[in-house]
Amino acid sequence: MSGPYDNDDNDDRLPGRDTDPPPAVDPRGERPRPRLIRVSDPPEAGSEAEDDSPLLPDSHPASVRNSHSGSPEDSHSVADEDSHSSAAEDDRDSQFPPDRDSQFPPEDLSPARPRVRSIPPGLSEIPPPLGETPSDAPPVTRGQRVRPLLVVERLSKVFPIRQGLFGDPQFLHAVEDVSFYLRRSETLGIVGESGSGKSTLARAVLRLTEPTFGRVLFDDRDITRMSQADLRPIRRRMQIIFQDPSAALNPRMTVREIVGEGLSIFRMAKDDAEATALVEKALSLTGLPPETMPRFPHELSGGQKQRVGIARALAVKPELLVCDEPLSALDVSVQAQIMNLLLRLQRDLGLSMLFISHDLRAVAHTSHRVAVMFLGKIVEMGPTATVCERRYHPYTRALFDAVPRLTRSTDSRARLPIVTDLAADTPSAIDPPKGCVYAPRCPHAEKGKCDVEVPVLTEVVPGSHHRVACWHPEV
Amino acid sequence: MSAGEGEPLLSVRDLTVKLATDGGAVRALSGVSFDVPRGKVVGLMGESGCGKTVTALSIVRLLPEPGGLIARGSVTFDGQDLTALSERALNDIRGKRIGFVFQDPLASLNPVYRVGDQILEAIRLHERISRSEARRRALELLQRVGVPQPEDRIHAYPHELSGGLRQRVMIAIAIACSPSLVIADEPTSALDMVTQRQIVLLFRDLVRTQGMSLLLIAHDPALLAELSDEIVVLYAGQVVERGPASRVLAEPAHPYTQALLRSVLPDDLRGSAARVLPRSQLPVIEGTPPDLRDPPHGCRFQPRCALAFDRCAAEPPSLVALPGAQGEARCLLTGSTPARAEALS
Repeated sequence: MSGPYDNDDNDDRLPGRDTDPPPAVDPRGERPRPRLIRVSDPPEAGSEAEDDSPLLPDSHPASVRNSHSGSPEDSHSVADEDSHSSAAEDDRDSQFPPDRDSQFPPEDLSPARPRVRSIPPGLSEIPPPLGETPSDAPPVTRGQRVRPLLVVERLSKVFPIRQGLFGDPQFLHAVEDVSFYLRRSETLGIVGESGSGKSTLARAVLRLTEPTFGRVLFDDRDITRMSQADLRPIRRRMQIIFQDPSAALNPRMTVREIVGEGLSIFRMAKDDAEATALVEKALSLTGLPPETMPRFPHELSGGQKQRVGIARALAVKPELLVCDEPLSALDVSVQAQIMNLLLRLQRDLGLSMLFISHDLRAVAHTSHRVAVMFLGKIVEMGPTATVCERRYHPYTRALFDAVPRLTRSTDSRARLPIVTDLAADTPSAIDPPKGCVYAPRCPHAEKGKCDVEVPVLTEVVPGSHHRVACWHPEV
Repeated sequence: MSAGEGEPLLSVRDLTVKLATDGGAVRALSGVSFDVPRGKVVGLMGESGCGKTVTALSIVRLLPEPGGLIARGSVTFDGQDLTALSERALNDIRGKRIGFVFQDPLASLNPVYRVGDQILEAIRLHERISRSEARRRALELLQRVGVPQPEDRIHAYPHELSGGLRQRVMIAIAIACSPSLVIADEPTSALDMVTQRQIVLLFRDLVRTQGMSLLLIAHDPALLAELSDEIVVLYAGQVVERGPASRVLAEPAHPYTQALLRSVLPDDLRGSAARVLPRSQLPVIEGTPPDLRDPPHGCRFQPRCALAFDRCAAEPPSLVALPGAQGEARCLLTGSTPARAEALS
């Protein structure tokens, strides 16, 4: 199978060419199909963010952030934003047509065997996607153009594995062809079961593991091909908090040393006294008293350790915070405390967040948008409220069914549905299904279609920014 | 409780347990009493450090040695007091008539033995049957707990299985000798939500078809709600509330239970039905459970309780029965109307 990176004539496919996708991948067969819209697509005119977007009942952090731009926490990000001249954007806007399907023909998804190759030279020169913020964005101050902080394009991570000493090398497709964007002050929730590639995706985005294909643009700069030296100042701006705080904190270091380590790496304090003051400030942001500083991780409770993990990330004033299963090692009561903390921090500091969890409840509560992952692919993505409401993909529905219910006790337990499609084994990421990755487990899978052809992440209702990769989304 | 159904299968009375820690001996449990009726599921609810696991371990006398000590109380299982039994007699009960499932299957399974052999071992330890007969039983068990292709998986090592399959193997071992009671300590906390759902359904099925009793320990009230007939709420080593699951979840009587249930995220995620606005601050219980080396005076929850008044710090409340056989709660406000609560404070 061919991919965009396999084509020798790849350069011909750079944006600007208005070729139609081949008919073989027409997602709706004979039916009139909605226009394919890729993740990075600029939306149709008139569909951009409204201040009073009904999908987002909460007041948005961005406005709060803009109102106190003098505080040191966010001064750097505000400065960055100001540097985008709208003239330059307009220029590039006109250069590239909105329909980016032509750039990435959908038939290229999911190569049967990976070809581990470097990204062709032309690709990195493609400027980031431009245009207005799509309608699923958190509302922004009208008239202000906000570019996504993070753009992930067709990211794949393939791990070569060898079975036995002389076995053929095989490849584990941990993340396959994932594209999304993340705006400033926005949270994108990534939900899926273990093994779906959520954590690998997070690591590839931060370049904690090298992506195999695709690219990541952080603040308009391609970080996938940057040298480690160039990457260093950007690393400060993107931080991660981990699932198990006991494993993530060095047991031989005090809280002061753990939280202060980043400050010395990035030379953010001129002397020890200033570093201590900054550590104290980071701790207070997470609700920990200064008395915590001389203590060691084992002296702290699980919730306190996770707060230290968050303080460590915040000390270097990041713009992007990746939260990789930040709650699953914690008690329900502590989970609520940490969720409150993350929401408050985003509101006060204007952080962008990738919130990764297998708990749909937590993702739905914290995120503006949700991406549902299965076997390395995003199968559904959209504004949280519409994903919760519509649940187009059968896997999304299965995930919702899996949420334990407080209200489903005793008498109603008899009616508890047996979720048949969850009982099957997850297909292997080493030998992924040929067609739709979910087909082997899907109760609606159609022989000759779902197990052969790869569904593309497509907007179901044009303009809704709610996309699903399914041949039979329940509309 | 099991009124009218004869003896409960398990009856824990006034269980008081001391544990030695770095900072001296603590009283991990103070007079815990509850029953597990036959064929029913009892859920133990509470935060970490409230004594849930210590309760489970004390029942079968698996407390860490040295240091763990049952100071007082009795555990009656099917008419026998387990606290008075010899170690030898107890071994006939552990694993045979009482099965266990722990939180982390990878830590509980032996990494150097094939899972089939570990199931065989559990069977042959308690029953004198041939290896081939035991093997046939092991295959049946794997099928019973929903392991696909049991003929292949019986030869697998634990690390070759996914977390969900490992937990299924643990459950197969727990039910290998058809125990009348299974104690499951956070059986799904290490699993993702989809796998958790499968395990919940498996337990529900086992309770129904095998007629076994289940003592389920979990910090997630929503998980307990899925399975439990009765719920016992532990706080700082004491039972603070107990009653039918439907009542405890719908009308919690103790402020701790109320606060714990409030901090659970909404499970009905369809727009307007949600209890809490998305991205709003959740109601939480501030602070952490008390240090049991020096528990608070009076009510142990009073330092974190939003409804506490002066009497709470002075007199330790006792369990008060709720009207209509709806269980008990350990709170001075139990049985009082909101108006009276107002007046008291």
